[in-house]
Amino acid sequence: MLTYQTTTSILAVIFVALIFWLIRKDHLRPRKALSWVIFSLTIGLLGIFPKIVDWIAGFLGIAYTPTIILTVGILVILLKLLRLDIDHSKSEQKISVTMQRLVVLEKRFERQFDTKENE
Amino acid sequence: MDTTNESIASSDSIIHNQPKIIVIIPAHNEERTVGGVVLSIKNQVNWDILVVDDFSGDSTANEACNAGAEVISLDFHQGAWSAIQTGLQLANQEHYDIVVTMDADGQHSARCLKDLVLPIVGNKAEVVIGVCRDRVGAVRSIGWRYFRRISGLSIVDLTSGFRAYSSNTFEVLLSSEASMLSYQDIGVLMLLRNAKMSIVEQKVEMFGRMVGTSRVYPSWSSIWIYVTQTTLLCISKISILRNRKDEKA
Repeated sequence: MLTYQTTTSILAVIFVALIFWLIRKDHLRPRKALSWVIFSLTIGLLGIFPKIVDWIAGFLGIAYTPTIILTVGILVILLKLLRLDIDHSKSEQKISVTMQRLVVLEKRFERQFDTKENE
Repeated sequence: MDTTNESIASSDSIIHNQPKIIVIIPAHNEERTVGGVVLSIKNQVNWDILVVDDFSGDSTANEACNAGAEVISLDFHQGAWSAIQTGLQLANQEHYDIVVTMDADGQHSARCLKDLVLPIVGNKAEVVIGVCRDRVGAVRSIGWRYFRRISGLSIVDLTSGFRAYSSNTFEVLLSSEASMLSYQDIGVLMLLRNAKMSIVEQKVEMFGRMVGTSRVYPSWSSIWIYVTQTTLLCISKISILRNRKDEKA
């Protein structure tokens, strides 16, 4: 049977490897990748040395250690999701404006072409 | 046409007091009515007519083109307001003086077009909203009273798509704030008001929808989404207004 530390270490290493693989394959842009590298290294550190969490929990006066992991984890995920929605709104708006300008440009080009043909 | 010709043309139109006007009709799957709408406009005025085909799956673009309108087809479905913005981009780039927006479903009467642009031609307003009091039912009346209160707007028909805009408004209507909006209604009116544009109402006649259902209110769940979304918009923008007033004070 595996020890708690082995399990967390394996999960952490898999996650770190996944992030590096995604960056290597250009699935993540370097700017976005940076936060994930920091995130994955933190997970790696906590996975290999789970005692750190116990120490932090003790320092903050939290008796039941998993609470701190869940609370901080959910908070980080929520912030990340919010950021994702903001970026998504912005990109949608940019795509929309770009498309509008493109079709208008095509129309104006067509208009000029028609005028020249009539001349 | 080159730039010199364009500037001569626009100064000519000012001398003869004949503004360059374009009617923008956003259309999404309106093949049954769009042709008739275009023809009814042609019977009344000789302005340019632009149908913005919002990625229709039917022959809306063909029908509009056959009726004699210019057509721009969007590359993917965007919603009525984005379609109107596309038309406004063209109007802005080609130096139109006035833009009129009209629904493609035949609700708005082309007979009222001249009345609608009159306040802008006479320099009395920058935005004209076509209002039809008969259209306001009991439920809508309560809804609009609520929206008037939270938005601070005093316009009777907040969702009327029958509007005229002067060229002064193009910058506001094409701003990145404006392209975040989904409908041509309260959000757009609030932007215009914040930009100090003068908005007037003009009584017009409207017909019941010939076919299909309203784009903004197809079902109860969408009404609920619309009400909450618009409420959120109004509340968030009102706080900005208050902050601005505080800064001035």
